[in-house]
Amino acid sequence: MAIKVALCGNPNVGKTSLFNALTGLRQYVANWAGVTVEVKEGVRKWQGKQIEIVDLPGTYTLTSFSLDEKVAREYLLYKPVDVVVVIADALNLYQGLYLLLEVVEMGVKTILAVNAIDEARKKNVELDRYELSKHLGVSVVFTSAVTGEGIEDLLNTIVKVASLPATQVRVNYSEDIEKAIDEVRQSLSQIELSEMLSRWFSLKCIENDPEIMEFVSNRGVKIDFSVFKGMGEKIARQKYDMINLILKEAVKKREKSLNVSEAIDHVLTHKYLGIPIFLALMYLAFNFAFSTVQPLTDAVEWLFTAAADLIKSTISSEMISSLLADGVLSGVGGVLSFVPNIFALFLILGVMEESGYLPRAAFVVDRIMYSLKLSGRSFMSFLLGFGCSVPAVMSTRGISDPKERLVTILSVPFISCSARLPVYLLLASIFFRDNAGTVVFGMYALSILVSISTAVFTNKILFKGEPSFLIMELPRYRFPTAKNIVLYLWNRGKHFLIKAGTIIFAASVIIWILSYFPARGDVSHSFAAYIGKAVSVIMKPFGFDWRISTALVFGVAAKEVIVSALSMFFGFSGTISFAQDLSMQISPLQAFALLVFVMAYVPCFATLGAIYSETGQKRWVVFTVFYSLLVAYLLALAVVFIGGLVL
Amino acid sequence: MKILLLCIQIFLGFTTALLFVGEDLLFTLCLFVFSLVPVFGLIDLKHSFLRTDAHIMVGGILAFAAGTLKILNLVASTNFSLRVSVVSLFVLVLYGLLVAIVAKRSFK
Amino acid sequence: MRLSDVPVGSTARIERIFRDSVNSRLLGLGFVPGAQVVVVREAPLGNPRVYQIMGKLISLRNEDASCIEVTVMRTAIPLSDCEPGFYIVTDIHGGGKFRRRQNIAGIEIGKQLQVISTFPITVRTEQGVFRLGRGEASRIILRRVEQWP
Repeated sequence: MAIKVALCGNPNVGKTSLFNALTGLRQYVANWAGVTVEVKEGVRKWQGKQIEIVDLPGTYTLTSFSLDEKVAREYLLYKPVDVVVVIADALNLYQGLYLLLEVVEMGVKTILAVNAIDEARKKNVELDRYELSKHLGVSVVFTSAVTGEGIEDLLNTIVKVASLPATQVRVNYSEDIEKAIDEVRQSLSQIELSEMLSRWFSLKCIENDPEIMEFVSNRGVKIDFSVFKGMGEKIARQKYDMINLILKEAVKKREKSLNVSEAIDHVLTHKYLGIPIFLALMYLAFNFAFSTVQPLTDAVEWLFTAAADLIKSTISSEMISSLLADGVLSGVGGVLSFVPNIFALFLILGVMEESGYLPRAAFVVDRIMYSLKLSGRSFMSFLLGFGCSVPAVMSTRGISDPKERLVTILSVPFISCSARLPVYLLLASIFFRDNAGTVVFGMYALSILVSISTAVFTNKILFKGEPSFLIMELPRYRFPTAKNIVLYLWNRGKHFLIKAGTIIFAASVIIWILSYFPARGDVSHSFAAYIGKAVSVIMKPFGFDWRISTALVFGVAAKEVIVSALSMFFGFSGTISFAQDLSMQISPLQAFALLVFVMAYVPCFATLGAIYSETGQKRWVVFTVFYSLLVAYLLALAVVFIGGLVL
Repeated sequence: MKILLLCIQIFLGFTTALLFVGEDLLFTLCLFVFSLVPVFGLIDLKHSFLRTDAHIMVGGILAFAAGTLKILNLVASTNFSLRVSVVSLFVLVLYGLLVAIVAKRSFK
Repeated sequence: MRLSDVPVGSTARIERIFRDSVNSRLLGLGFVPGAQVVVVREAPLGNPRVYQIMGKLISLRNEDASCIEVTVMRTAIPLSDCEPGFYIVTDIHGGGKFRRRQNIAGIEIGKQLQVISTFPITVRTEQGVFRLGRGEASRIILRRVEQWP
């Protein structure tokens, strides 16, 4: 029979590292219905038993103010768990013990794992395991996820504690609070709760926890909560007092050394250097993710082209070979050619997060983002958008405020990613020659504007313009471990390949079908072309004929395709060049409108896939599609109209 | 003593940055920013001898990181040859690493 | 006064917290009445600021920090009460001989020093690393620093 274990603890205590150490590769991301908070599950066999471990989101308390806390708490309340392991940082037990007390008050079997014990030792901090255990009433294990120390001990303790009955640990409060608890428990007696839970519920009521208060009143219990004003703070205070006392007994030598971290912070959040350093680091990150990694991308593309050629030459049926080569392979190849860039970007993001730099970056730019009702954390996502919208959307996972997260997901795709650049360059060089650079720059600037406007707009519409909050811990700097980074990449990569990948693949096949039939390969008479011809009706104001419109339709799959699609239709007859042919169709003004349209309209399938996987709801994908089409159309219209007046 | 370390760091940083002006202007800007760290370390010297260590260490690590990534980039784009700018880059990287390790010790 | 108004470097004691939606989150982080909070630094644009509470560094926006009512404690505290960090010496209580002895160790009014450990009390000054007794330490008054050039 399996032992179910839940891991909880503050953020930044090494919970994930410990989880990795306990489960290795046998972990996967669990997705509960409608919840987009990441919960990982894994297994480990120990002493002949199957231990199922759940990594709950990091929280500071068990009150339900943030989504993370809600998820963690709901799991503990509603899912059957045999043992809860609360992980605390050896160098900062204060905070970890607060959570421990909250968990212990629920009446579950609890183990305290004091992590980073190796770091504590290095700083000459000594903890008395016996004293801690005695005063807290739970089993205590010292661990180090980095060195592996204590992992076996922890597993043994889990098995042991699972087999023993739960010990009731009670935190005693002052008289007035205990009286209040008794009063509330009386009122709650009509709800069936165990003794520990009834006490826990009472405490939460007194603390004015909104969810508990709702739960309780839904069951017809009437409690006058105004009597408890100010008691919530007292309860917290008394918990901390108790922790203080315990630590006095259990910590032999206390030495908090934030020195190295503080020193680094002095430079990285420096008044003048802070922001430039951040921008410089991001530039290096992009450079790495796009140009250094280019050989890998080229290799992948070459591989697929070679495979496509092989198929074309060996398979006799033209349709099948085209399906496989142009449809399937180009679809799969399309997905996989993203991979080196995305992995590289996530590598950078992972290092920044593991080392502790990411919160500092958010800290430094927060002020700027505040006016957009966002926080510094989403700045990173917007920046990533310049490279590729896919990791940009996926990076929003780290944003804790769900409102901000959604707004960022919807706004980021407007930022001009690297895939649009070839289109910009092509059109700009043909129609604007010497001013090409300025035009391209203008596109980027415009895209930023649209993105920001979308952020403000969606925030107003969806959330009545409520600003997001930023309260975050700046953890100690630490050297990222290879193992953690690898696991991080593995999780992210798998996520992308499975979720976004299937959509891209399906879409590529559909595009193939549309372009191959009914004329068996003659694109000018394919379904896609029919669609293009239909679309060109509304494109009349811009002078986009069916060829450009069809290219735009293809561009929905991936923006780079626009260039190759255009080259299929223009200038291939050999008598005139591509540039000449195209300039015969549209004027420079219309070309500008085309650029604007390309900038704003529907994000590529991969991005749509990422949006779906990050929001979990189809409606946002639909919203993005229609909203972006609308914006693109209106902007292009404005260009043609204003241009027509001015010129 | 620390003044000397800072000056070498600043010199190496700016020189390497300038050497890359023709090749990669953005990288020059990047190195320039990172080299400002020891510059501020010098400015800070009067007020605080302690923060200087921080500037040395972080300046060193940043230079090391920038240099290493650039070298990787050059190798990947087969642009790698032992020309003056690249040699200067290597020196910067090694110096940055060394000086960062040395400065870290003073925080123990 | 409100936490958002406390100057960088000072230590304050929390009296109460106002708004409710942020309340619980702050409580859970250690911002409880009676707790000591140190204003460590501010962002390049003045907002948000970093605070040290219960051994952690927390970044709070001024808008949120203004919901916390505090009393500023002595901005200057004796070395014997200091947590590890960077300080500047503001006063030395003692006669000429005591002062001179401290000066030799680099502990002078206006000079910076770093508190490395509180148990035993160890500091680093321009002159090197020194260990002090509790009695001596209680007569050296320090103020926490984090000033920009």
